[in-house]
Amino acid sequence: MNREDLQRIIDDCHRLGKKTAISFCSHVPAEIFEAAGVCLLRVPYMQGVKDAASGLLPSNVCPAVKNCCDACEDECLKDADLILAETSCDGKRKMYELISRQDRVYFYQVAQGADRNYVKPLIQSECRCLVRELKNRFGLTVTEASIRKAGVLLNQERKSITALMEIQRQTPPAAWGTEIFQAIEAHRILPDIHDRIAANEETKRRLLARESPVPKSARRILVTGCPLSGLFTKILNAIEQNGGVAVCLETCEVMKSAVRHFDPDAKDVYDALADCYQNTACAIMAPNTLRFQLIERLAEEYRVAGILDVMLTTCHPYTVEHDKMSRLCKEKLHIPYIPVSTDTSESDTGQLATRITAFMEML
Amino acid sequence: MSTTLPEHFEDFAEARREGFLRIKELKDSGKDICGTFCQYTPAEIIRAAGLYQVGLCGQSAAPIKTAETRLPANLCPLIKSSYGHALEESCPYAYFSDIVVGETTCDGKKKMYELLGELKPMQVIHLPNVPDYARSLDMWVDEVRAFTRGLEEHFNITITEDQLNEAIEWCNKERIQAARIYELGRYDPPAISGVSMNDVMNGQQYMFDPVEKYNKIDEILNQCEANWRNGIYPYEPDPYRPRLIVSGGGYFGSSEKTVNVIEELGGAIVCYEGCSGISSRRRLVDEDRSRDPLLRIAEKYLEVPCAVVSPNNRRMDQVRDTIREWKADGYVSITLHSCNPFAIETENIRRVCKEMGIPLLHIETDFYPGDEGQIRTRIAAFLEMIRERKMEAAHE
Repeated sequence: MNREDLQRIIDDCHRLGKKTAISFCSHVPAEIFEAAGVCLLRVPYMQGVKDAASGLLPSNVCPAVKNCCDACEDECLKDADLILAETSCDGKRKMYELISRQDRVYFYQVAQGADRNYVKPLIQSECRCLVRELKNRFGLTVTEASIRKAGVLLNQERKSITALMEIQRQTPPAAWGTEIFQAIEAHRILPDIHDRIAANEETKRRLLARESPVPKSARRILVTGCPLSGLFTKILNAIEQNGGVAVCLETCEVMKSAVRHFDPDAKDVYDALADCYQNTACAIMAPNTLRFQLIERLAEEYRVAGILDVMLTTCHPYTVEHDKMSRLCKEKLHIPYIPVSTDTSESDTGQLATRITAFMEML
Repeated sequence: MSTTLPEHFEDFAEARREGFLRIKELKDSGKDICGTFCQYTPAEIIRAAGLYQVGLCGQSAAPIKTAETRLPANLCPLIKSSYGHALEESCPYAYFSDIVVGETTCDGKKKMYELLGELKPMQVIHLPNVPDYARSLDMWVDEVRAFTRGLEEHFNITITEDQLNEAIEWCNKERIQAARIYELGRYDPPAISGVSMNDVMNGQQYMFDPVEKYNKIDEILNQCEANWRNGIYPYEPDPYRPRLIVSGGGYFGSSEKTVNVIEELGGAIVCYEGCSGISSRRRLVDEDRSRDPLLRIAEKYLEVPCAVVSPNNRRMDQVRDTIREWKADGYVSITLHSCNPFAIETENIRRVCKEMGIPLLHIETDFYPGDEGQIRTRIAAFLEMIRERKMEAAHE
C-alpha cells in the first residue's frame, strides 16, 4: 500500500469524528477497538515511506520490522492517534521503544505460549487494561455487550476470509493465490468492518463467477511462515509463474488470524477474547503446537502437494522453528517442503524462481 | 602493574576449566545439577531444591558448526554455541545437568529451547514483556510457582518455605557481595581491574561450594581494598585513564577481544551493567518471612532490567545512575551478532549517554576471531578520543 492512500484513510476516519489506532500485528484484540468505535487500521507493508530504520535500528533486523519503523516515523502516520506496540517479537518490541512520540505508543503484552496456565488470565487482564486505556485516553466506553457485538462482526470478517480461501479447495483452484492475497491485503485496511466483509464476499463472488484461470496441472502449494505483506508478489509469482498455484496461505494476514473464533455466547466476554487470541498459530508461541496442527489440517483440506515456508531475514521465531516445521513435513505429513529465506528486496527474484521451479518439477 | 594481585583471582579465571572435574565429582557423589542460562533464573528456588547450579551459556565457537545443522546461521552465537554443545555432548556442564532451566529472554533462545528440550529434560520459564507490577506480576508469580512445582515433580521432592527463606537470605548475601565487586570500581583509580571483575563474575558460575566461593570472593574484596589503601592499584595511576562502563548481553565468550583489549589499551572498566552486571545485584529479595516467599522472589525478578521487557525505562534509569555513581567517561555496549533485544536497545542507551554527555561505543561481535583487529582499532580510537577529552577538560 502506498503512503498517500494510508494518509487519506486516516483523514477520512478523523473527518467522521473517529479515533485511529495503528496495528502491525494480528495478536491485537480487534474486538475492543470495534466496540469502542475506534478505527483499528491493520497496516500492511508500506511502499514509499521515508527511511528511518537505518538511523535507528541495527542493519541485521527483519525487513518487516524496519518497514513498521519507517511507517511510524513517516508523515503518513503523523495524525494517527494511537500506535499499538504489541510485544510479539523481539525486533518489533524493541523498535517500538525507539520511535518518536512515545506518548501515543501503547504497549500491549502478548502471551508467549498457548499451553501455560498464565496465558488466558494474561490475555484477559491485558484486554481489560486496553479497555481502561481507551477510556482514559479518548474517554471512550467499552461495555461487555459492545464487545460481544463486535465479536460477532469480527467472526463474520474471519469467515469471509476463510470462505475466500476455500474457493481454492476445488480442482483446479478457482483463482491464483496472488489474486486472493492481493484482495485481502487491499481490504484489511478499510476502516469500516462492514466494508471489509462485503469486499471479501464480493471478491469471492467475482472469482467464482468466471472460469478458473489455473491449469489443472498446477502443483498445489501451501504457503506458510512469516507475514507475506512485503513480499507476496515476489513469492507468489515465483510459485505461480513456474508451474504451481498457492492454494492455501497460512500466514498471519490470512489463515492464522482468520481461523480464530470469538464465542459470542460465552459467559464472560474476556474469557471469550482469551480463548480467541490464545488460538494464534504464531511462531512467538513456544511451543507453537497450534501451527503444526493447523498445517496438518490445511494440508489435508486443500490437498496440498508441497509446502513453502517463508522466512524473513533475522526473524528468529520462524527461522528457528524451521527445523521442527521441516521435520513435520518430512516425517509426519510426507509432503515435500521448501524453506525460503528472503527479504523484501528484489535481489533474489531470479534465484528464487530457479529454486522454486526445481521444487515444482520434483512434485 | 601491581605484583600483589589477590591470589584467588587465578582460581576464578581458571574456574570454568577446573569445574569440569568438580562437576563430575558432584555427579558421582549423587548430587543433582541444574543448568541455567540467565540472571533471570530464580537461583533461590534452585538452591532451596538442593540442586547445584551451573551456567550453560556457550562461550566457544567450536560447536557452532554442529548447531547450524538445526539452527539458522543468522542467529546469536551464544544460542548456537549452547545448543551445539548439547547436541554434540561436548560441554560437561550441559552433559551432567539433570535438568536445564531456560527463560524466554529472547525469541532465539525461546525457540531454541524447544529443540533443546528434545535432548535434555527442561523447565522453561516464560518471562513477562511489560515490566509493570499491575500488569505482569500475576502471570510471573504463576510461572515462578510452575517452575517450583516442576522441580518438585522432576526430582520428587518438596520445597519447603523454610528452605526458600534460607535460600532467599543466602542469595541476598551473595548479591550484596557481587555488588561490592563492582563497587570496587568506584574508587579512583579503581581498586580492581575490569578484567578481574569479569573473571570473578564469569568464574563463579562454575564453583559449586557456595560457602567456599563466598569466602574466596570475600578475601579478594578485602585484599583489593587493603591494596588500595596501601597505594597498590591494578593500574598505574593516570588521571586521564578513561573510566568505562561495559554493558550488553552474553559477551563472556568475546571477552578476549573486547574486555581484555579495552584494558590492555589503557582503559579502565569500572563497572558492568546489563546481563551479568550491577543490574540485578542491588535489588534484594524482601526477607520478610511473614510473606509468601515465592511472591517475594517474583517481585524481585520482575525488576530485572533485561532487554526482554518493553519499555525498559528501569534500565535507562539504571544506566544514568551507574554513569553518575561510577563517574564514567564512556560507555561500551557489547552485543552479540543477531541479538535483537540488546542491539536495538543500545540505541536507547546511546540517547541516555548523549544526555549525560559521554560517548558510546557499540561493538557487535561473535565468538570467531575474524574481527579482532577491527575491534582493537575501534577501541583504540574510542579510548584516544576520551583521553583527549579528559586532557582538554583538565586544562580548561
